Amino acid sequence: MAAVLLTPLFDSCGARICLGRKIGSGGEGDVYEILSPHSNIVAKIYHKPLSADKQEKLLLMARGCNDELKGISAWPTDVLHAREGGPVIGFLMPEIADYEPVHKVYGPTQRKEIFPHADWRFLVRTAKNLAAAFYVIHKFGYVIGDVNEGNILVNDQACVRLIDCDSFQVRANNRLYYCEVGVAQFTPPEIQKSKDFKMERTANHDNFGLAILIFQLLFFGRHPYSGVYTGKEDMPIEKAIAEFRFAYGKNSPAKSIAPPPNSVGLSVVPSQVAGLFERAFAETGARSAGRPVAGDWWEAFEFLEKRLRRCSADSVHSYYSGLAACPWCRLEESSGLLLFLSADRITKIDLRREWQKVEAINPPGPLPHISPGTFSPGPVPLAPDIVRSLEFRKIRQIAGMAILAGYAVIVLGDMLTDYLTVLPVAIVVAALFLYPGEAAREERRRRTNLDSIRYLWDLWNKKWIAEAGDSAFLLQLNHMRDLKWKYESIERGYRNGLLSLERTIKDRQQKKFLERCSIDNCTVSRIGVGLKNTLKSAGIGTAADITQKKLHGVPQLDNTLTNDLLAWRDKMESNFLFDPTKGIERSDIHALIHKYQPLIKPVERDLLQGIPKLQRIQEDILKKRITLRPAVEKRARELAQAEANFEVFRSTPEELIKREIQGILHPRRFSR
Amino acid sequence: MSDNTHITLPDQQPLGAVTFAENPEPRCPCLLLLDTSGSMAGQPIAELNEGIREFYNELQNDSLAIKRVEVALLSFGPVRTISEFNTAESFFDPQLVADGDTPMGEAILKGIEMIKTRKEQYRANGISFYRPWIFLITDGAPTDEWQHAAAMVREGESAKSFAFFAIGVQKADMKILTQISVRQPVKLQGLKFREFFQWLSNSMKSASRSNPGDRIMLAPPLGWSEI
Repeated sequence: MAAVLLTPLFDSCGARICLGRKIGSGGEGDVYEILSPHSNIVAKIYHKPLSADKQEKLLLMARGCNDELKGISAWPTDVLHAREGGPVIGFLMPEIADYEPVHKVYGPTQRKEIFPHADWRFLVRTAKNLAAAFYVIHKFGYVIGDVNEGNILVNDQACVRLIDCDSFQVRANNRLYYCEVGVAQFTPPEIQKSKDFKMERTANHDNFGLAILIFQLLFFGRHPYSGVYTGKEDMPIEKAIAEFRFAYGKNSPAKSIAPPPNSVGLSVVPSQVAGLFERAFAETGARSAGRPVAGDWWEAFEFLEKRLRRCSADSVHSYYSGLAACPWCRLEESSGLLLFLSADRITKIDLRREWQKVEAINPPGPLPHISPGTFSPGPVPLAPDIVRSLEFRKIRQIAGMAILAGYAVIVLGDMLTDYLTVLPVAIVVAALFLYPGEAAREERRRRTNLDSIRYLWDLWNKKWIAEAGDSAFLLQLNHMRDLKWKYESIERGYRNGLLSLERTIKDRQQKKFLERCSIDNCTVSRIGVGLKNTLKSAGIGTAADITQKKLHGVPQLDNTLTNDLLAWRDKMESNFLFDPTKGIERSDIHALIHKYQPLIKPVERDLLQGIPKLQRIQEDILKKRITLRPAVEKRARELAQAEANFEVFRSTPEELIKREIQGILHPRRFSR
Repeated sequence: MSDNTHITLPDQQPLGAVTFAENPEPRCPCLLLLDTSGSMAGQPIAELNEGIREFYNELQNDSLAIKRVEVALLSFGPVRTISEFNTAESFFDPQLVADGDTPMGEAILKGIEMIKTRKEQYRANGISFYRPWIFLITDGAPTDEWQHAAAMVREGESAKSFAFFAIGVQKADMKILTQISVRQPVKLQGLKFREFFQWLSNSMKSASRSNPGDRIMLAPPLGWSEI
């Protein structure tokens, strides 16, 4: 690239053109400043040699250049050659400075950052100016072809400029010079399926892209064919376009597609505008000249602009006056979105009032105690045969013990003569102790019953604690407290910002005054036009820019000149008169609002949504305490009963021993 | 428990519904499955971390990619979701630490599940999307069952649900990677993670400008691969 910079180029008349700084770079070529006297003109130089076709096309475009085209686009004004009579290697075009790609305007997030003042009126005006630009291109028989979100630029006055004009389709001398590129999201259905763009493009194709961009501008970046599709398969945009699935149209149900959540549709624009969208996106649009042309849109917006109304609740909300209420308030409220940055204040809610609502929700309080211990039922009496069997068992056990004791005496007294008696004695004792009898069966039955009822009780008790307890409520309440704290600290930041604006009011008034003192008005004789230009290119344009440090960076300045400039600044400063009646500048407050509003909005949203949620949790807990209570109490009572039923068997010696062992093995089971 | 009352949760806002309304641009999801097994310790993991940082940086500097490319990070050894799908605005410094084994099969299955969930969110919110990309980066061989994961990868590729790419680092078992990935796995040259992520961000930037269809446009893997 250095070679290009050094050697001058030639325009079509053979005049020398010297390139300056590189200011942009793209896939096809780089864009350079042009050294004076050509102001407001830049040059695009291609990376690779151009085909004869492309060279011819550029020449034709440059010849066809006029003020109207130059006014709305970076139209080629002349071609550039590396040597006189040589091939075309680039072209000259108007410089387009301080413009942003249109996707940064229709995307809410970036719009709020880059165009904080933009309201819906701004978006409508952008759409109208976009239509005007298309109108001019089509009027002269050109076709844009590659309509996309990156080659249409917008400035803070909602003016629109088209760039990358060298790709436009040109018709001249009965020849067509194709536009060979395109982006699917803006490509009409009828050519959606073609493999490449080596084909004739029409204004009707452009008008599809125009309608898409206008839709995106008016509806916060939503693509008209991007919706909630009810079919099973994936529905990429280009497929939706090819199948005419306009998500917001009259026919959308038949196309199995619906608008996405948190979006607005054609109901917020006049029927005339809605009708244009329907025409642009329906099957009939694909017919030759079937879609609305740029002029149709322009007229529709002319009509709409005269019928815009400011919302009484928020002055940044401007909307179509044919509607009963402000659609942006409704959308912001239902979605928690921040569509536009307010010019008045950072938040619309009164925290104190909202917090009173939180405090008005009574905490459900600790969980009412339900436990089997509160019930003391008597055991179900045992049947007479079981009582008998139980008594018989006691007798059997006593007999067994007696035999054991007697035998033990014999053994200890060393009176045993025949060890063979051990076996029959043991069998007899074991039979006496272990004979099952009716009572043992009943005992087993009652124990199994107790186990299964205890299991059920555990489940219900857990459910009771989880659903009727107040931990969910306390959790949400704590979350709300955190949000309140966050909200307050953001608000504090904003107020401190306002205070410091007030404190520095004099400094800023003075700075603004000095910013108005251009060095062009500096009358010090030693500082001439040439030096002033040098200073300007070093970023020193006004008295406010003059500081020792900045002057130091300019090598052309010696000590005397530096002192002269500093003295001039001091003189200007002494002319400044502070006006205490002026107060803080509106624009400074706006900047502050625009900084804090996006911060506070999500917290505000969570707070507002948190209040009904807290209410719901509270109601739910209280409801559960009523609905669950009988079931839980029933289980507690059943458990108490089952425990009492089993208790009657605990008095047997064998049960006492078992209980001891159980107590050692599972100490918690019998602790209640 | 037949007579119980159902547990009712408070109403839930669908995840990210507001984000999708603030930024309805079509999404270009990219999932990175990152090997953080013990063998990656030291310089490899440091280079990987640095590469990811630069990857985010590159995406943030592109006004369209920042709205369209969504990156999710999943590390394995053990399997951990480092970051859910998010646009590069919410930069995430992963600070990966290498320890553990290489449960690659589990990671792939979890990753495929994440893609599925994210797609459902896109659909519910009327957001168009490009075919998701999954990049598996590993320096070893799976220590768990990977055959099922490989089958899922094949299934997803043939249904065009996602595109799966495997990148082998140093002593990675390229044979197994070939069995997992339908596309030819690529071997990273040395530890050129930065070059890889530079290439990936360029690919994502141009993909996010293409059409949300099923064509995949990847530049040849020059400057970082052993080809």
